[in-house]
Amino acid sequence: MTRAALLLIVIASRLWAQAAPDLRGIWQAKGTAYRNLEGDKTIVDPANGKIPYRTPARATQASNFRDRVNADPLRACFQPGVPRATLLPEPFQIFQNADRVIIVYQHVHAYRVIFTDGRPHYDDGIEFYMGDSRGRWEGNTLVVDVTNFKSETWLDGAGNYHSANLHVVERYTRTAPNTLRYETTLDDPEVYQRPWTVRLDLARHAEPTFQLLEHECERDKQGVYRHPPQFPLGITP
Amino acid sequence: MRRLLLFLCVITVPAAAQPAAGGAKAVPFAPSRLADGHPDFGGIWMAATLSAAFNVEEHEAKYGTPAGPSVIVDPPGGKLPYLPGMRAIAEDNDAHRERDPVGQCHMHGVPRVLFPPFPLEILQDGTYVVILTETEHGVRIIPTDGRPFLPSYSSWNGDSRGHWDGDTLVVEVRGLNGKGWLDQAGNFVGAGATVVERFRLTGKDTLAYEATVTNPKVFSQPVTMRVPLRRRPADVELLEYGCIEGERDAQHLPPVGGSSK
Amino acid sequence: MTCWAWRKNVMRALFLLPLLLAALPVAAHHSFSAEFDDKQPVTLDGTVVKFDFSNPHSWIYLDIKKPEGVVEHWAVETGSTNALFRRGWRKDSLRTGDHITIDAFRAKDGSHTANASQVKLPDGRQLSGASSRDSAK
Repeated sequence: MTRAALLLIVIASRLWAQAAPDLRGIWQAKGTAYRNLEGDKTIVDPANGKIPYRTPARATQASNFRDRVNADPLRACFQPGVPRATLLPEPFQIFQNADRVIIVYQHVHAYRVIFTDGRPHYDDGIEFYMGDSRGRWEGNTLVVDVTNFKSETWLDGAGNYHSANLHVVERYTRTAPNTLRYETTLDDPEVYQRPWTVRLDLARHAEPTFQLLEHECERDKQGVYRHPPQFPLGITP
Repeated sequence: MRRLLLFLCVITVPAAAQPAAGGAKAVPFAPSRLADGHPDFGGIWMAATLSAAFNVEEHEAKYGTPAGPSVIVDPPGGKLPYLPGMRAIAEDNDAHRERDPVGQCHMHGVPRVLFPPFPLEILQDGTYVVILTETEHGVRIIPTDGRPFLPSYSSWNGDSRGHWDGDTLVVEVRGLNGKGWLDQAGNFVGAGATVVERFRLTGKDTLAYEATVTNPKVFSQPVTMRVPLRRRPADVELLEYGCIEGERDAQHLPPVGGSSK
Repeated sequence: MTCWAWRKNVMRALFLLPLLLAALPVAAHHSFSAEFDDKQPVTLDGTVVKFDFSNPHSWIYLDIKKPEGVVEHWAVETGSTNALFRRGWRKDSLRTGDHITIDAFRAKDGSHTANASQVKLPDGRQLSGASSRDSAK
């Protein structure tokens, strides 16, 4: 290799490093927000920490909660949806390169590909459990716009829910080497009176050999899919 | 922030190479490289033919899938070197394709996951190589930082460790649970199998994939398969594929009895 | 030695048409032949009750009026959402009340279940059902 080529490679690697903040790593939420978003200080707006449901929607949530042992889609090995996937008591891993960020969740190995090159969302003719994610960098923050949701996921184990019209805007900011601040606004005029925001800090798994394990549901003899017993279920008992 | 891309290619021409002129030896392919100097496998790929997905051995048209050649390059002869009694298990699987674990929404396993009849995505970010498949939202995470394998692991997609041999990515796979099939015809690698894979870019849009499977309980010798991959057009993206959520066929299938191995 | 710089987002893919056609139908999430009988073709003429645009297969629920006021309830499987979407289907391609005709193959278990090969839409268009049976193409 010539010296010129080596120099150019060094410059390219510096450019690559400067192109976007580095969110790579294995991250995990602490606490019990996964059980009930309204149960602790996860909701920062509105200030009362409650989801601003429309009145009929609150009744649906209450009914979900009563029925949660049978009705929680997470139990049936459905992909967890967004933002529930971020809150679960299982790690997830962020990979990134020049034009996309990929998040792989240990929970049922769900993944999301977040394009950061400006390409638009799909039209509304298709829906996804994990939504359709398009991201952009704003200074140190990755801002992800998520649309095209299927309605069949919950937001937590307490039956908090959304419709297919859900629109989520996530903000990921690495505030310290081992801390990722996650702030997410949810909007769904069919279900909520107004947008509302959750915020929590995620901790990095800094142990050098930590890795995601394979969390694959298996079908039992009755034909029902079940989670392997070694993983926390992420539901509300 | 606007993304500034400047990827440089450096061809290292072997001292013995002839200049390309009038039918002489062609210049070896030089892949685009990431900042760490390694070739960039990133993108959406698919097997150049679907033949291996149906049956890795040479096969006739069957059950609506077409005939195809063997992808086995070793041993010569193109047949899986099953130990006595093992081929009968594969044939029983073939007669009971409703037992295919992929039909139960399980991940494909290795090496089958590298030749699914759906697109797959490869991404490298310096420490990891990630392979995503549409079906079953399947994932393989391959660290290339030299860490040890997990002790006593059992999984559908295995525990993988990668390293570079020049421009070839070499991946060792352990911890396969042996429940997966090797293809739709019921061939299998069995519990305790280990795999060594080699990935090499042979052109801008072609990737040579080779897998050597070793399992002294199933095969009389290691068996090597080659399935070239082709890059999909730039506008192809993976689509989410939730399988368990929408699975509705099992009620119409014969009951899944017996083991698939 | 030669060196060149190129922009990664301008990849020129080799667009191999025969490969593309072969790849599109894609083989099944499960074996067609385990569940359906390609020796029992059936034409289903009816009204859409529900269209479930999902993976691993989309499902068309159809009511078929038989003589003497009998209504048969059929469930017809098509290819995956992904295969259909890439062929131009959308989640509202079929709506409740649409009158459609489906060429399909019956399930071996005798139930009112079938695997679609062709769907004729209300506007006259025909769409392939991206059937798992067509993985041969």
